[in-house]
Amino acid sequence: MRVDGCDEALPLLHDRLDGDLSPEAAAALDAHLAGCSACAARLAGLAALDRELARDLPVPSPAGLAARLADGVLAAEGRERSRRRLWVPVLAGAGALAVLAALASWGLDSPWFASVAPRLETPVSSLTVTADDLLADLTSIGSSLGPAAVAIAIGLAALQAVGTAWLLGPRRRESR
Amino acid sequence: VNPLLAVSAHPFALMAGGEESPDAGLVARIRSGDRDAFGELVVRHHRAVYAIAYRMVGRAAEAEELCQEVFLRVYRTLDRYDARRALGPWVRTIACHHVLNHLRRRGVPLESLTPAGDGPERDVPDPADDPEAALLARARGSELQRALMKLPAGQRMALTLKYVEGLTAEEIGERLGVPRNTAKTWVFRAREAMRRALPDAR
Repeated sequence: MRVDGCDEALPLLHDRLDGDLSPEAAAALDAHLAGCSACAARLAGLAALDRELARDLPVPSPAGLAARLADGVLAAEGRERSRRRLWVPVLAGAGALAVLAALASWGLDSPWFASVAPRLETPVSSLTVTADDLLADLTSIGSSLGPAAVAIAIGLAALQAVGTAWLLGPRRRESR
Repeated sequence: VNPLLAVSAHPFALMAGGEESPDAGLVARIRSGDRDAFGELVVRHHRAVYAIAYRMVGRAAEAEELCQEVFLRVYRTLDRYDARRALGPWVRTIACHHVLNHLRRRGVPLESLTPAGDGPERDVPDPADDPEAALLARARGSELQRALMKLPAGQRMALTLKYVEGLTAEEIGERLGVPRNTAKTWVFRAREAMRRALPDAR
């Protein structure tokens, strides 16, 4: 290998600083430096710059920075968790309403509602409800609850549980 | 290797034998809710993160704000930390990308074909509006930071990683997601620009 001119030598000067020269390239550079005072001076200048950058670039951090950063992060995280927790009752209420709405919407079409509907038109004063009537109603509701309604209710409850767990999950990090 | 950094390992290197990193215990304590453990993590790693941020933006207050965002991100992504790798390089990788994204949002190019000088002049700390920066960067230090701020962001980051963390061109490339030769070129160009700006280096 041979170094032809200072332009070719320049990247090799940087490689020497970084300890990134092959033995062949190092020998070729040395041969060039032996006859080129400009490149020798440039290498000396680069070496001085290298020392200065290594000494001065790692700027010292301001006093008390670590404590400010840790406190700031934990405070920001606490605010975020509080904000998220505000959504828990909203989600819980929405979930409960969704379950009720699903059951009510199904219930109006059910055989049970058909059996109860005539009674709704009876004046309250002449309405008599016996224990047998209540039992019959409950039995009718139970037998009318189809698998679809049960699946909807379970699905909504599961969604709500997952959402609530997600909202409350990170709270464990502020337990101490 | 700079004494600021206890670990300057390859950012994605696994521990020998695939064992758990000595930092895994600290991370486990943080994840279980130990606030003191998080404070310990910040104490261990804030100097390098601050040095990277300060050298990239040139203002003490902005650098501190970026550090805050970096550690908040670290805290929120601890679930993704791989216990077989050293924590320091992981934290500093987050810092590098966060700072570069911050600059990108401000319209600072990562790489530029124009000669040194495309760095926005407004980045240079002005002692009048940032007394803290003025205290930190006196005389020669201020000159050095001014020259640094004139480099394109990629070159500035490459030089910072080389001299703050002592990374090789290959490690810088992996940290920034660019080929080794690109990282090497960035260091070369940055050092040449600094040589021209600081001809009387000591």
